[in-house]
Amino acid sequence: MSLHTLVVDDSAVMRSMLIRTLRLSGLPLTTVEQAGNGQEALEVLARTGIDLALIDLGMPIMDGEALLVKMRENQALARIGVVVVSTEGSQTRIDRLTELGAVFIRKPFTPEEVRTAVLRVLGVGDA
Amino acid sequence: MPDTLRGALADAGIGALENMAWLFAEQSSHASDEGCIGPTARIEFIGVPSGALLLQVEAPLLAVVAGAMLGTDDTPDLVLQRDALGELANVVCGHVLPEIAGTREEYLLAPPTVFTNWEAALKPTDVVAEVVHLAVQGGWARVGFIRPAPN
Repeated sequence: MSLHTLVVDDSAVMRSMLIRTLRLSGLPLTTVEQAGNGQEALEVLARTGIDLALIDLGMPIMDGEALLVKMRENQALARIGVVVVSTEGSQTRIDRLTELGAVFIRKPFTPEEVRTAVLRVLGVGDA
Repeated sequence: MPDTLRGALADAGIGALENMAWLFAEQSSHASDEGCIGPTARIEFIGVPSGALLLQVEAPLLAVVAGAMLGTDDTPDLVLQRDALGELANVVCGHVLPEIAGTREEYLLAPPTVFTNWEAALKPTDVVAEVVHLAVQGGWARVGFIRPAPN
């Protein structure tokens, strides 16, 4: 397993933190692409084969929930594993994201939490 | 309610600084930072209640915080420092709201806006419901909870 990953967050600092955490988690990453909002993410997804997307919720232009809905509506993107990484504290919203097949982790996060969430969304057991 | 809010602000502020920037922080009873210079992030939220959260971090400390968040010993430029402050405020706000309103309440959070200091981040109609001062390794920070003025 090697993961071509997309990190979507409007904060460059948070994207950097997340990429560093992903690398610390020991997951088998190949390239990590970045996008600053949902619209940019769709453009990356259209031109690149992505296995895993880590998506923030609160973003300008297109937020993370709208992006997730669009991915699930698109046959070519529907099977991509999605981990939502957000400060969201509303269980109501988390339940809605879970129904769309995403796994949720809350900021701030640890490498272990990221690893567990990624393996869960990909349906892979930890070695 | 004030005790709950005060505790929620302190816990969220301390937790964010410790877990995102690896800096030890504790609640401070001294308002020694009043009038001091430090960029301030403001996050407006709509829900029950609506309002805003303010996070101010002393300028030299913010450079350290941003460097820690980016994993670099170099001083990040001011754009990245403001980005780091906004993201830190976002995390604080995201942890405070469910503490005071419960986890079933949904909030719409606006993107953070960063001002040069605390006073500039306040609007004339703001009612400052609570402010918590934090002593942080090598500096200070403060977190404020703002309610809109009643009509």
